[in-house]
Amino acid sequence: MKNKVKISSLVFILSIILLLFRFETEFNILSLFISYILLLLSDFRITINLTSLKLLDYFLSAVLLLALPILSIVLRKKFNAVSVHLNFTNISVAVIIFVILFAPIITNKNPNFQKNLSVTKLLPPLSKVEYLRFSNNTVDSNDVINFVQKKNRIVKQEFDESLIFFSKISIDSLIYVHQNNTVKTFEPSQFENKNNSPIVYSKIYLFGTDEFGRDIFTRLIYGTRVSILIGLGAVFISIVLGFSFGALAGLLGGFIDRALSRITDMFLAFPMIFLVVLIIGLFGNSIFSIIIVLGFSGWMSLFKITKTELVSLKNKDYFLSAQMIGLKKPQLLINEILPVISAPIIVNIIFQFGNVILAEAALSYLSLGIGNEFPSWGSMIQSGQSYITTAWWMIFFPSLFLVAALLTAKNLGDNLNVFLNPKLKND
Amino acid sequence: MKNNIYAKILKRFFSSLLTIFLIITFIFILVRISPGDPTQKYISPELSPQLKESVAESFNLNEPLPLQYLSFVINLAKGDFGISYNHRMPVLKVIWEFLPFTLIFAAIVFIFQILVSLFLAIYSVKNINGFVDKLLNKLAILFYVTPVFVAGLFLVLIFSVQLNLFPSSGLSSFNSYDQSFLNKLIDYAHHLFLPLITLSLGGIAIFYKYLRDNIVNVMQEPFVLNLHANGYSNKKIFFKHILPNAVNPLISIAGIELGLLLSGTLITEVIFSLPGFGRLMIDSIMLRDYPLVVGCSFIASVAVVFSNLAADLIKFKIDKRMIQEING
Repeated sequence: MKNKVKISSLVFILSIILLLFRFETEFNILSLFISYILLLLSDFRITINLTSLKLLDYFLSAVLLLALPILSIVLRKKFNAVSVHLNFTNISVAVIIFVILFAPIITNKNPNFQKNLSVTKLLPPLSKVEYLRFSNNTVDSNDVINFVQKKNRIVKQEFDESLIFFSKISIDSLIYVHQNNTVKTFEPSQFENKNNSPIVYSKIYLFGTDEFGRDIFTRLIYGTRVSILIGLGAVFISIVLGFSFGALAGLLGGFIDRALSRITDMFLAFPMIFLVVLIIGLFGNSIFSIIIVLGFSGWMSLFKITKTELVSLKNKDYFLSAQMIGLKKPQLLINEILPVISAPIIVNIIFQFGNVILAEAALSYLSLGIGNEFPSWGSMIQSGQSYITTAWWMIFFPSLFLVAALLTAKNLGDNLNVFLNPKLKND
Repeated sequence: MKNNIYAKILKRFFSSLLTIFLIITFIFILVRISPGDPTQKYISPELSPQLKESVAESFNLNEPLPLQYLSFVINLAKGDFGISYNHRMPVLKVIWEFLPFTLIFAAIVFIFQILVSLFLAIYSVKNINGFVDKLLNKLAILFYVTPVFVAGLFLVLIFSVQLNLFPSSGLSSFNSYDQSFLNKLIDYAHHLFLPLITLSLGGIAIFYKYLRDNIVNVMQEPFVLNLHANGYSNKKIFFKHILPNAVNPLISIAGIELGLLLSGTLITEVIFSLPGFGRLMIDSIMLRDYPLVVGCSFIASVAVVFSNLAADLIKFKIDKRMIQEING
């Protein structure tokens, strides 16, 4: 067989790579976490007030990243039953899961961070921008204030007043900060300095920046979370609807079956994208309405699968005998029905997942997406379209991520289909 | 037996009609219960409320929903979808202005898809397991998953922005109205090249994959071996016996493809700003042009339902055992 890799070693390698690349960030967040715990013990109420979802997200990913290599070694024996081929699909599934879990560590920027637009907007990939940092001369060393300052430095915010980006500086007794056409003058003591000359920091924009000077790489990383969240939510709704309607139609039959089949035909006969655009366009777009509408528009194939499987199951001998024994309906459902129909349903769910991600991107492209509040792949492509003549990177990288994710979903579905139906292998 | 078949086809036909009627009823109610007021666009708040009333009355929006629906159904029976709020013309007339472009464009794309994928499939079967065959197989999966708008934007990026070979939007040049017929045709072709490729890629990938696998499967059937043993030439066997057998299952996919094509034209028309049915539909939704939304939905669902019906009928015509497919 081709090169097979144990799942535990795959996880171990990926987390070690991430640890090596982002050692400093990881260390910072962990030290923040320790001071957070200490503060929590000394002053509970204020610390709770300081806690935000974002802070917890940072802590969780840092702790998990430290725990994952250890766990993968300790629980090696349990995982080793499963080993995977080292191919595009499996690696990208692992990478997507890593990106979702460790987004704050993979990038050390905020997806919506923007400052000094004239310097930072529409930068090509791999460009470097230099900046100065204003010194904060608060001498007051309260525990809480110390913690807040540390937090503000490590947990990235949308705005950071202490940074100033520049295209050029000239230093004599004063500091002249050039930002393309404007020049600002500062005292040297205003900045963090060493031997009276300011420390120049620099940032590298791996995939460039967009029209608002936001880092495209960071937006892609956080956009993965949004896209996958929408996919999961919509697929969950589809499963609940499709499965319960299918179970109703398959088990009860008769009038309910005919009515539900008619509704399914109705939905199938209308191009889905029209219906989704219609509903979103008329009722307004938000992340929840998009999840609900995409969920409602994808249950038909699940309904059909569940129904046909149930109808054919009804006449099988083992099912009849299970009924004769006197199993109750819930028991029948769990012990006899679910194992049989789970294989086609899982495959269908994976394909449905790809469809939802695609539909969300298409909606964002028609500017009916989740809006500017969250970064998503589709909306990034849509905003890049206006700058197609000057900034190719604005559509190139999001498209790459989108196509890679769709390809992964398709390949995963195909692989699972073969895995769950071994008969297909011989064809 | 024959009567039985006709009865089934007729039953399927009426069931399709019922489905379409249910769809437009659903859309009608959905549009009416949605928030927002279509009269707002035509009335400024400084004008008197009576004027607003009269506009609402002219749009037939002041009656309760059941009455609106009743008059809608009565008008529908006469083949009248009402008057578009925005275009101030009967809905069917408006659609008739935009539909021919989409139909012709979709037909060109469809033919282009079939020809290209047939050519590629034959080529890769002839060099089976060669480099080109493997490459095409990988590319087919890649193009199958690539969304239409990503493909379109990449093509624009490469051919319009970087190479400056093809225009990135529109249907004709600004000075094309006073040119000769041939020049006009060339101008159209020049403008439609990128949209054509954009919309075709996905379909080519699907058709190619099915055709290639089907041809390979048919080539392994015993009757092909028999023909070889009888001394027929390879070319004759391939084009007279293998290909017709391999193309048949494609018809069922073609029915599904047509639905994809319809939603694909929508995005393509938006990317390249072409004056087609998909753009009309999006605009009508955005402008809350209720009669036009219902009319467009009607046309779209008719296209999908009847293309599926036609695909099933063709399948039945080829293989009489397919009668169960026609069940309504």
